Amino acid sequence: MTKLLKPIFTLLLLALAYPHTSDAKGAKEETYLSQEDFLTQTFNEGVPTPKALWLTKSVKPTVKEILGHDYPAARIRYWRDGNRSAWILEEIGKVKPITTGIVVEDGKIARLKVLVYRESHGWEVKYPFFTDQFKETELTEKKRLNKNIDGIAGATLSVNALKKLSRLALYFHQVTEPKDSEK
Amino acid sequence: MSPAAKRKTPLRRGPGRALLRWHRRIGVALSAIFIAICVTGILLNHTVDLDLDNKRVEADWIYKWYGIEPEGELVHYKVDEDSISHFSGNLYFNTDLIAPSGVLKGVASLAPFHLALTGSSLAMISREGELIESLSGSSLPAGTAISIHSSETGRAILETSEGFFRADADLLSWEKLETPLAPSFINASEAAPDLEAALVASFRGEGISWNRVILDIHSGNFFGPIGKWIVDFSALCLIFLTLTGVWYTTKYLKKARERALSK
Repeated sequence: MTKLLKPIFTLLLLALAYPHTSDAKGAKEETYLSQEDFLTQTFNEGVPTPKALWLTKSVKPTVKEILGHDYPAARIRYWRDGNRSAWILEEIGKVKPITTGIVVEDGKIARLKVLVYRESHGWEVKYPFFTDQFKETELTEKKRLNKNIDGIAGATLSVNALKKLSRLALYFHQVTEPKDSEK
Repeated sequence: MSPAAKRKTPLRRGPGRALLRWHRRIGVALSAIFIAICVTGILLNHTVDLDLDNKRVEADWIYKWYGIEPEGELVHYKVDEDSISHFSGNLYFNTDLIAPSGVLKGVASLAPFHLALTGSSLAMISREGELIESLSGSSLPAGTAISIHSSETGRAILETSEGFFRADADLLSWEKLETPLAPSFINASEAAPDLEAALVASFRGEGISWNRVILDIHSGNFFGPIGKWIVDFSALCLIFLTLTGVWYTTKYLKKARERALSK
């Protein structure tokens, strides 16, 4: 009897000793372009002094309408030189924020670049074949993009996050547009 | 040979005897598992009566077992009447979660807001506990951030591997200080036990219900993937025990009837 019991009890002990942790795959944070390089590439004649856009009561509702939630900060830093502005914004794809640099010129997106990607899936959104679709995109009156952006199979959440950020950058560009008297 | 010995002989040799032997072995070896499955099964049948869904587990070892365990030490700074802490990868203002962050290197208190230097970023936190902005990369001076202070004039002073830098009032630009000012420090302090308990509770969120634990023990998932297979194996063994038990009982009753008829 003990010959049979020994292996069974050993198996049970092994099962108890087995580490019961979640199977969370460690998503690696990848930086594709630093903020400094993004800004240097955006403003050839020198990076302008940053400005801050405070998300006041007049701005917050539209931000919430675009994102579906509040932006997780009370102010946004941006760089502006004439009609060209640069925004470094973050939005969660599935569980982690995607840091994206967006350049808006004359109310149209001039460049969209994924700077830091932290999710385990959906990293295809970093490729130019996807990000180039945003070029020349404008914001409609309903705060939506005027062009259709083709998605990527398996990266729907990341695609949606970038669409939201592009709408947000276009909206922020509108909000921070210098009034005629300031020009 | 006595009549009793004659009756025993066929049992010892036949396949029935071997089955009986396995019936006993398996029964003894897996008895603890059978009891655990039965007891947890009874409890699960009364989940609503016992309110197991709403009763939260308090035992630390169960959270550790589930991998819900805070990582690293609690780093705490007392700023005026408030607390800024770093706990398990998150930055907290009192007991409110601000954002995920790197390790808290220091805090400074300026008139309109607090500053928390975490990893390689600097969090601006309003006095109400709202994250104003998280400064990193090009928004900070060159070099690796070492510590954050406030000057006598209420400006933020950031020490990096490249030297000391002073921010403007809005923290939008930095200027390098050739002669460092006398910065004021806020030293880390020990968090009050109730704050630490609140942070642990915040980290755990809703926690784990007893229903989940009992269900996991019942299904074997509590012991990981191997546990599930052991419970599956035990279930098959239980079927085997039932069938052999029924077979033996039938056989015994048949023999008992034959014996009664032969008398």
